[in-house]
Amino acid sequence: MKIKMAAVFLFASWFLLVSSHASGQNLPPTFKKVKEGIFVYAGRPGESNCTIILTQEGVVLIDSGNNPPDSVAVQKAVKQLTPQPVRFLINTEPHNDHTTGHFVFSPPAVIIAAAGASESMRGANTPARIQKLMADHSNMGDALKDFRVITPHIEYKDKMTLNLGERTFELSYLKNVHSEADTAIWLPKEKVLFTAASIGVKRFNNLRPFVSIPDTLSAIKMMKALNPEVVIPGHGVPGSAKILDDMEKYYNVLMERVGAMVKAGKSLDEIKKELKIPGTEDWEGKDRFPNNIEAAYRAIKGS
Amino acid sequence: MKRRIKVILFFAVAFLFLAPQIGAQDLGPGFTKVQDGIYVYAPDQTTTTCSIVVTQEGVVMIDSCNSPLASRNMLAAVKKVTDKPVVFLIDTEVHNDHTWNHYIFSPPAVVINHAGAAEGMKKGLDPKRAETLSKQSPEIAAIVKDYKFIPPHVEYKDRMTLNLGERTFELIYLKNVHSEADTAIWLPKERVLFAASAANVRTMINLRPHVTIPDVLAGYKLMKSLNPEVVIPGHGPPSTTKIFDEYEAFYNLLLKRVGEMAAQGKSLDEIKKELKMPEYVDWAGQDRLGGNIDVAYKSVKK
Repeated sequence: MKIKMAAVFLFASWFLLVSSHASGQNLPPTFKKVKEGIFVYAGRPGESNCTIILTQEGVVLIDSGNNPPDSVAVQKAVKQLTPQPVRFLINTEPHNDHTTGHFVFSPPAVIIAAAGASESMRGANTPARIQKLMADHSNMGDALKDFRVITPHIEYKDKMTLNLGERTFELSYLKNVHSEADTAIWLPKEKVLFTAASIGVKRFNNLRPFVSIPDTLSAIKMMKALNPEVVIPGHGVPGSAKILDDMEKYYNVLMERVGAMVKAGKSLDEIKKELKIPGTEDWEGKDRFPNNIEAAYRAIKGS
Repeated sequence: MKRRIKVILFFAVAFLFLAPQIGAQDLGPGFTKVQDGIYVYAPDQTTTTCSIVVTQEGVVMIDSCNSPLASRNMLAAVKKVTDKPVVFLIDTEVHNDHTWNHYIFSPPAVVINHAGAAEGMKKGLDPKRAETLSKQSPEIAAIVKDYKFIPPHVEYKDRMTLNLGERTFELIYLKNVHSEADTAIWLPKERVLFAASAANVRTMINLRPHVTIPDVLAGYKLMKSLNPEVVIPGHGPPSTTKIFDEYEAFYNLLLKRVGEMAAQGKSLDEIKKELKMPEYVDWAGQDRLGGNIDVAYKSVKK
């Protein structure tokens, strides 16, 4: 009888340990559980998100963390959550703050991105940039010792589906929204959407010269049509479809106001000096507002 | 000086002996080495081809072979040519003779094919296949006991690029050429093309009702435009673009003859009874000519 009780006790203890691991109860507060088996990490508010998704056949990561120490923190969390390896790492974009930490996970992880990602990463990771990374982050210590640039193994065009264990990931290329190769990731069963950096949370995005606000609005429309329950942006706290609504509203107001000022004969410089968008006073990245105006001006002028 | 030459000679000879110079003859019958690190297993003119491409970071396999025994031979070949694992397995089509043996390589291999492949595989799955195969011999039963249905992990749409080590694989969807999801695979640096079952070797191909000859001809045009040095068909030994030329001539002649007979007011049944292709009597799969006429008739009636 005593042996039987001891066995039951041991099994119960093991079960509690395993279940608390998989539930992520012991993870640091930098990790947020958004659904069963889905954990979003950001080292500091506003830094790029990195997400761990557990499946019965291994782990899928979305982006590899803002900097290598973040990648190491995520790797540690993965080990706490599951004995299984990171099988796939999907990039929402090729910029350094989403991709520098690839070397922490690959091999064995297979890296996936939209076509053009490798070229963008190779262009950005010059020897000078790598040297600077080492110098700027000498405090990273061991996190950088095995650093090497790992470009995607798989580059899809337009659409791709990844199946692992019980989960399905639908990848869609988002054209001209942020970088050279942006990917939205949709988990249809879980109703979880990764929007890439096409949208931010109370944040002005850096709209580079090739970014188009009409294309961004089309992407937001497409993503809203999926009717997601959880929306995970490239940067910022995960939320609901309201994040998409807020960004859509902002771009529409921006386009409307820039359009009205152009119609009134104002130059781009004048618009940049005069234009304010109410409701964005507490947004981050105010220094990017001028390039948002430039993008709106380009769209209105058709250039 | 003489001593120095002797030392150099010694190392040169030692290197020649020690370097992994695996030729196709070391892998067994049916294997052909088409380029450094690229081996094709094609037991005969009609059996499903499967291939391995060795890279610095692992092996990419094309199709999982016709039978469990063929897959086992291929796995043994992989172990002879490299100590690295099969990292990716790309399917050129969804049918059983190309995909049923995924379980022998995956895990660890990540399986890739075009959108629709998993559904196509499920549709064509014979639930008793493992049992039937097991009855053939204890040797097969020993392999098949681990059988598990493995659909693709990755389903791309239209185009995809795979990079592994020093090699690049460009995957191109071929629409309506053979199965529900056909993929041509192009290695641009090596100029090697895997043509799927869009083209085989002097064999009439089973043209299912969804196949269209204009789409097949468009597939050849696209693949020829790549200017490959080596063309590996879905069935049969490696060849050149010659196989595209042969099939183009065959389908064009078939379309011409069916078109003429249809213009004379002949019914499909009459055409099937009367039409002969004497230029191709030595091709394998003559029983498929009727199906080929059906598909040609659909094209000319459009």
